[in-house]
Amino acid sequence: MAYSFPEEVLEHVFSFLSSDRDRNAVSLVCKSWYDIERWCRRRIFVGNCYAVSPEIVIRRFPELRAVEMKGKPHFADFNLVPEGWGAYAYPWIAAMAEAYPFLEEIKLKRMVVTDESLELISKSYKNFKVLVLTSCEGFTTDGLASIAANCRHLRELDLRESEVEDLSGHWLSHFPDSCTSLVSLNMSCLGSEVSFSALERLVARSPNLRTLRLNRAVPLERLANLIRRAPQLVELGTGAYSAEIRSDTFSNLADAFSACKQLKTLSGFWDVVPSYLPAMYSVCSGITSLNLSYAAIPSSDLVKLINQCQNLQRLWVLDYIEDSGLDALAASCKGLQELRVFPSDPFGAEPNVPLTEQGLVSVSEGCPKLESVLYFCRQMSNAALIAIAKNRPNFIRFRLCIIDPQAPDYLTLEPLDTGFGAIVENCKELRRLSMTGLLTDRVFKYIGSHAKKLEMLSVAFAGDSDLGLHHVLSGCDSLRKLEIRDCPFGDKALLANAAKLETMRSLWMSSCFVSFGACKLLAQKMPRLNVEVIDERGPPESRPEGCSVERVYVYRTVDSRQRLDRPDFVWTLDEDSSLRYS
Amino acid sequence: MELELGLALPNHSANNNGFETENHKEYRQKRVFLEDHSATGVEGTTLSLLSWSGVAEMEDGVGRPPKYRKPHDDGGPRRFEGWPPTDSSPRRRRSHLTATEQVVRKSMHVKVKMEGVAIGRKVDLRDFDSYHDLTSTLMDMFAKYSKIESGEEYTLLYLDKEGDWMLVGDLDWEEFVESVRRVKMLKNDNKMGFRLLLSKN
Repeated sequence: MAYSFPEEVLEHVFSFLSSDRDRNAVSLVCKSWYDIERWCRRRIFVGNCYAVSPEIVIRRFPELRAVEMKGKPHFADFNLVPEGWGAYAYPWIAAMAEAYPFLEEIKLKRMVVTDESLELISKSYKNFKVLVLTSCEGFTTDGLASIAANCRHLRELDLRESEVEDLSGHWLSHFPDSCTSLVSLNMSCLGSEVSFSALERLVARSPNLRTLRLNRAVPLERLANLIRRAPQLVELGTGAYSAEIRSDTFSNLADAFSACKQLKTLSGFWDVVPSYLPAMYSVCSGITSLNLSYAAIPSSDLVKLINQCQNLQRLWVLDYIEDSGLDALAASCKGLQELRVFPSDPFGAEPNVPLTEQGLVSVSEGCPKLESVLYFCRQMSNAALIAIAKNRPNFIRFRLCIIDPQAPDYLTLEPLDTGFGAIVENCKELRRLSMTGLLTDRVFKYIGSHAKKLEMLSVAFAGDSDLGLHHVLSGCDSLRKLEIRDCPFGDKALLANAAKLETMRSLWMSSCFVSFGACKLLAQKMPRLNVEVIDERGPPESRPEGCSVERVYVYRTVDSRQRLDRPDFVWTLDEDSSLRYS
Repeated sequence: MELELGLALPNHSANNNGFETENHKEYRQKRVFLEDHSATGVEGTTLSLLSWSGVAEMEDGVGRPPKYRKPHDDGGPRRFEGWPPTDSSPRRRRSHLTATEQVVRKSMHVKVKMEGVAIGRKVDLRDFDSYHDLTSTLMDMFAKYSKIESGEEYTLLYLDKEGDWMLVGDLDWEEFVESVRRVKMLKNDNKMGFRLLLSKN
């Protein structure tokens, strides 16, 4: 193009584009823009590790510095994806070790990461800075030792919620004395005790440390010394928050906290002894995020704490807070944006605490900025949901879990269709929705009609027929992820909306009525989809064609080869619908 | 519902929950979530006589309010795999261990419960140096205080530090002692596990 800018200028202009969407749009303008853009892209996000192959990524983007990737589907968090399904990080790590010697950041979620992978990371990238492993598994503390020992410029090591085989706490001692670059360390998911003196020295020599999340094995008596060495902390996760009641321990801790003028986020709080909570009061007015989801604290103590945190924006708490505590929250924390209430006794038959739908109604009334909710409770009514919807049309995420699946409106015994209907009708910006309770096809009709910005929908034990699924697939224009379990949805809706599936990242259906025949047909019609039948009962053709599969996972992919790392309970179907399995 | 500890999945008859059943041949009952059997019918009617929860609360750290749990009634909700959808990571699964059991253990006392016997016992692991030692003592203990049919076989299970019930015998004795938090003995209908042949002396 004669009137185009020189390459260097375009590159400079593109360097101001950080969002993937913008960069993707830019690369569609013309061939030369595509080429320039791909050489200067530095960060990439892969939402499904099987949607593309390492080779394709490396070929298109030769100069990446940061890779973020997700593996298993979300329902893996609830044990619905069998062990060994896949999402192995190693092939990616190995390929990138060759291609990107200057790689600095790797962020993985729900992937299987081995010690081998971690060692490879630690040895392959001279300038490696950031490792974040969210809900990953497959590695031990030996792998962490490699990272600590070899990554000279490490800034972030964040193991949030990962399942690590904890061989010992020695890994921490592998950080060399010369390592002073740490900005963020999150070891909260580990079990073993690390050497406290090594930890203290590490903290003391890391002047840029902003995030420190300890594990449960760090006792309260040690916390003061650690905090004292890092008064610049912005995010702190305590260890066990319990000790014998002693005034010197208390005053030591209170003093240490008072020096932390920048603290914004608190978490940890295992085994809380409420008498020690006031030690934190000096920092509470600056706290914007509080994670008490491991803390068994009675409601009255919770309320005292919350009343100190007037600027709270995010609260994660157990249902010990009770309706009364949520009333207090609604009165105190007018800036609240996100609330998550977890069940303290999820498997108990009876409610163990007085927490009901009322708490959520209060908060929705009192907190004008509330936009994101995850709420576990044991009863709900349409009236409450309608009130909530009217109070808070600004919801972006609304996830409700009623412990007893298919629980009706407890006042009228009707389905909760109208309640959730009100949510989608009023909350026009809703991007994520999880529903539970007694729900018929009608709620899906409401969703299909109103939830035009909805990107992720989670459904369990709901609906009457294929019509429900059809409403969603045909109506939700922005849908990217749909996960369904135990619903009477089957072949008709799936096949009728096959084209829709290519516009989405993925569809998960388990314990529904999808037949193997339909899966084959879908795979045949849609070559750019991978249709995985995940069934532990043996080859699907050994059962009648009309028989439902245990699970089906459908996702779009540009990698035309079938997964080579499939376990023997995963059947994928290629174009000529011949069965392939390992 | 009867909790089966066999290796195969329980196979219950179809339960439709009001679903339309047109065009479908079978509806598999969901797999019972085995990890929660501490709260289900395994202990059955004996649970109300036990005061384990009460004892545990008293041992807990200072300042924690007592957790009152009503005896579990069998009319409770059906168990579904992965339900409710709280994080299934080990840390959250540890919820059915008491707080003292979850942290690094401070004492070597573990509770032992035998199926069908109302009152459980406590043993100090330091008194034993092998599986054989432990099991012969357990046999003596329960034979003395309860009516045991001779020739009855029991499966021995232990609750490990991750909160999972495991078959006794899979670890070295030392590893077992480090990991075990509770022990239970179940009447053995299955041919698996560490079997104790009890005889009346």
